[in-house]
Amino acid sequence: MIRRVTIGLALVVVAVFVVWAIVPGMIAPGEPGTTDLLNTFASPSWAHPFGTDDLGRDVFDRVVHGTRSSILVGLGATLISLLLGGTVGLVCGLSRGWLGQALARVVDMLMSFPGLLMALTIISVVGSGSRNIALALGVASLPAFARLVRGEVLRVRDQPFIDAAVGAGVRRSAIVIRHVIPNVAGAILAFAGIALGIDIIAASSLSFLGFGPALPAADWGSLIAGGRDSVSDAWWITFFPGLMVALVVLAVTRLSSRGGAGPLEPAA
Amino acid sequence: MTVLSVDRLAVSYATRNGSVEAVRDASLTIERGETVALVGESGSGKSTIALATLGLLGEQARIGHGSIALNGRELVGLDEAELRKLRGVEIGYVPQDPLAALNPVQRIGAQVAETLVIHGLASGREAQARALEAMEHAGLRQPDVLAKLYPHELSGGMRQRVLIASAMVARPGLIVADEPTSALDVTVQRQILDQLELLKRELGLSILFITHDLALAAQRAARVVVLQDGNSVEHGPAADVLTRPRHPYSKALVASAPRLRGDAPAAATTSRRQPSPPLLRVEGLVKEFALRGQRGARRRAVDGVSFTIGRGETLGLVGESGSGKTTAARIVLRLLEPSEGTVAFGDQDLLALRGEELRQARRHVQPIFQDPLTALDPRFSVEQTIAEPLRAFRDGDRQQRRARVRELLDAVRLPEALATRRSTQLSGGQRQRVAIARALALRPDLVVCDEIVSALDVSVQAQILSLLGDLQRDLGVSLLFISHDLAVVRSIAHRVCVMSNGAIVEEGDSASVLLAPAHPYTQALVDAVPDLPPADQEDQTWTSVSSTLARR
Amino acid sequence: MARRLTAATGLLRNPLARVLIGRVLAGVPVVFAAMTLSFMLVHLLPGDPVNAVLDPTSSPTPEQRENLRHQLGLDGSLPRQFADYAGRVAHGDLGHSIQSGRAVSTMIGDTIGPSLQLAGAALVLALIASCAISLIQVSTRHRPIRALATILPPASLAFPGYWVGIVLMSIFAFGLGWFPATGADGLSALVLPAVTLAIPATAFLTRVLSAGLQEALAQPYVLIARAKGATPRRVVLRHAFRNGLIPTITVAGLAISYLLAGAVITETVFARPGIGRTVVAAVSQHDIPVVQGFVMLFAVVFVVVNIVIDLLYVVADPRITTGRAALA
Repeated sequence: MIRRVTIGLALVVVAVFVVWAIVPGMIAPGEPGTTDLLNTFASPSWAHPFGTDDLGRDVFDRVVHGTRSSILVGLGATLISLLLGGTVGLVCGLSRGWLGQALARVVDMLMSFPGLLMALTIISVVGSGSRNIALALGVASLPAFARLVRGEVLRVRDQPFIDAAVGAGVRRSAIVIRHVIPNVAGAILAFAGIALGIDIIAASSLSFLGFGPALPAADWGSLIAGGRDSVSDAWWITFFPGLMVALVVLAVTRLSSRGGAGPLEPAA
Repeated sequence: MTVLSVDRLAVSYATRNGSVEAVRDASLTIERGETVALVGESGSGKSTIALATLGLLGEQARIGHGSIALNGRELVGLDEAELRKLRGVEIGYVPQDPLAALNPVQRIGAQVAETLVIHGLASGREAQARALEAMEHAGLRQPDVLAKLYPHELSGGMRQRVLIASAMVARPGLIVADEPTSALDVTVQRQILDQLELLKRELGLSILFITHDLALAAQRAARVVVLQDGNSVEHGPAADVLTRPRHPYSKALVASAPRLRGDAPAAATTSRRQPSPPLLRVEGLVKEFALRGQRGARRRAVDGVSFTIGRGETLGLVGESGSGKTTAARIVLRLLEPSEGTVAFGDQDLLALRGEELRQARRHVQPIFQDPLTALDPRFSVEQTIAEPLRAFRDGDRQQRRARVRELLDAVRLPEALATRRSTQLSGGQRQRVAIARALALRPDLVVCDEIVSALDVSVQAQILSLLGDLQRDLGVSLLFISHDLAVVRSIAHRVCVMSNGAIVEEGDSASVLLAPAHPYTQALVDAVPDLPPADQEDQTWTSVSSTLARR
Repeated sequence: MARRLTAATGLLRNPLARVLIGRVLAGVPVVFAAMTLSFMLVHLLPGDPVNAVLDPTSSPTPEQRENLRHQLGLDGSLPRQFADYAGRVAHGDLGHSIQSGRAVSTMIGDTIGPSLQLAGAALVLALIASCAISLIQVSTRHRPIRALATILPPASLAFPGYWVGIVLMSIFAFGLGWFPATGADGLSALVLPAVTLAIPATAFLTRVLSAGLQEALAQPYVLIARAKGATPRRVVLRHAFRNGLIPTITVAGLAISYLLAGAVITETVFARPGIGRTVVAAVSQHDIPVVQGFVMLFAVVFVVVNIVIDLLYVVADPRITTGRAALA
């Protein structure tokens, strides 16, 4: 019963954010950057549900308009790590020779390096911006995916039904396509949902540190960074964007894990 | 004096899908100094009864009605603190899995002494001394050395003795032993149970002995209680229940138990051996595994094994755990590469084959594995599973494959309606039938059966064995039948090879090897097997088996 | 002869020494890999790395470019460059910052202290909290409390660390005035950053520990302990806890390296000096030698942490050191 309710809530949250991301203009008409110097630091009210910032900009408008870049960066990062990491993991798990072993060692080594630091290192090379953040985070969480996929492949590969298929004379390619991949897909998709949550948080963290997209498309992380200096006067500027991050991550995690494991690593 | 009396007990568990009755109406009594066996198949509720006597049913369980009296004191309704005072002191518990039942990070001595410490009966040095004494009672030599070790440093048999010592240390009057030896080899089982019997006599213990093995119950207990679906359907002196069962279920159970001695069932006697060149010839097989953590150290799992299988012949490969029988089977199946030796199939050198050639050869040699649940892809339907080998060899078009699957389902006596189910929706016996159908789909010459009935209940086991025997006769297929269970092998194999420490120590006709073994190892093995008296009217009981158990 | 042999193998017999030696040796390739990675960093730059490092608006002279090329160790053949770089690293020379010209090793030395303080404090908090929460979770019969202990830790991971820091700051520093908002003076300035950093670590450790506890509680040896008459308290503390701790030790290394990564964010939020802020500054200024130096630092920290973890593991689990089935 409780499970159904929370899953329903998560679906509603995701639907709202999808609308915000696709047609922000419908929810918050007008330019999100419009300043109103007569109305700075207004606390939340009906006119400004999330209040206004130091330049009198409506925080709610800015949050709605920041949805797309906040979520897209995470999605892109997850997609990159899912595809690349999945491939690496599959190769690691399936190859019994030195290649699989060596690749697994490299992956283990990269795993030991915290994702956020890896992303920062990559950004130091490729520079900031949404696309680079997605790339950096995608590469940074590639090892985690590779390791998960490898583990799952090894687990499935050791199942007697694989021996049964080999013994029955089923081709190697058919075993991989018909037995291995379908049996690892579930766990990997569930993990992808969790990784999406982690990536959204990490992307906003990088924006917060100042590596995010340029101002007009400011995402939630940059909004929080912008409101940081006035936090003693106007808590709402930082509070609401952060709440949005948490809501979207909670919803996505809820939908992907269905009550199972939470995020695998603490997001920064 | 009655030590334990369980009267009309009913226990149910609350699950997500409502309440499930594990025990419906079970009664038994144990007198002082007596061993009573509680016999039943999986799901019969026997472990629930064991836990109920200890008051350890857990939060989900509810006792519906009935009473449990220990030394005249009613346990049902007693609060947790009161029950705790009885556990270990008046009633001791010996569990099934001797490795998992010991705390891996605590020393043996502390675990044996724990009951004394918990109940404040002894502490410190005195507790240790009494623990050592209990270990000695349980047949452990050098208890002072063992006490300082951790569980993983002991063999399975020693661990079980440790558990007996720890159940005994506070001298309870009653021991509940739940399948205490089913994880152990038959020779070790014998030693452990002999020790338990000795203790019983010395200390005047009473024992509730829970087992699925009728023959073992007959051998070890004075009285037997038969449990079916949570009901105690028959009880009486062991000899009576096992030779003249009255309840239809007990009759069926007695009839399905495989027998080592006496006449073998039809399957194993109608030999179709031909003098023609053998179908499979295995010679000088050696498999070495590198030992972990010790550089250069190797263990020979298979050490110079040779055997042949004729067309239409069933060869039984028997041995205890670690004897190398499964390794040999996996080499024949080309799932494992041997270190040395040859495997010839017809005039083909199986070990020389690679790639597509090897795959084509697999068409003629098909496997069936032990655990039918994990040997079937959970995402496949029954039809997909059985059709898979056909698909792999492009055997017929879709229509023809479908027809063949139906034919095979019929051959393994499964209804066609099951074709669309997944393996997870089937019972254990049904799953193993699906695995048999898959193995037969390509009409192979040889089927390698690795412990295929050891995960099944005795009644289902009997059905699978008779099915396999029939199919073998009808199709003329050869079987390499691997099992640790001598009685099972006796019921199906024409010829037997006995393996020990990676080598074949004795080989010959199954009747002569298993009834009149020549090698000391085989003799010890055969001696250790508990056996039932031969069934009287075999035909009659066989029909009643199939009618009573057909629905499983 | 025999005696000398025992003396020689004595060191290897000692399980702790054996693990220690093995781990140190296993750490060598990790450090080497990190070095290769940080070396490659410069060469992964699209186009001429010098361009990426130099401010494109300042139109540098060819001379400046050559200087920088030399400074980055980019003159000579690739294997030659690598050998030079490896040689310098082996001598503890991690190069100089392009921005400030200071030695990277000095920069690390100056900033590592406050960061270790922060990470250490957070680790202690997280260990205490996660033990408490998971013990409550498995022992309470009070359903709402159990549900709370189960749901709260994973849910807290959904809140971005920097945001949690700001919220804590606005409540406890600006609102209640209990702790200073920024800086690194004294213990009171450590509280808010340490709590901020400890929250995700607690969630992570709690999840592993309570999974370990629950798994241990489902084992037959727990049933046996109860059959001996043990109280629930004894069952949890004597039998389940130590067994449940073992998987937690395995991941504690991961938790520590993430604590250090989390320091990047926390130090920025609370304007604390430390390696995190230095790294962020270096990244935004494309100060590659500094980034390289910190990559090396993290590799070394990782190796050291793992050595400690493995030693703990040996202490906690007798199965590691004593032979398998010695008497079988």
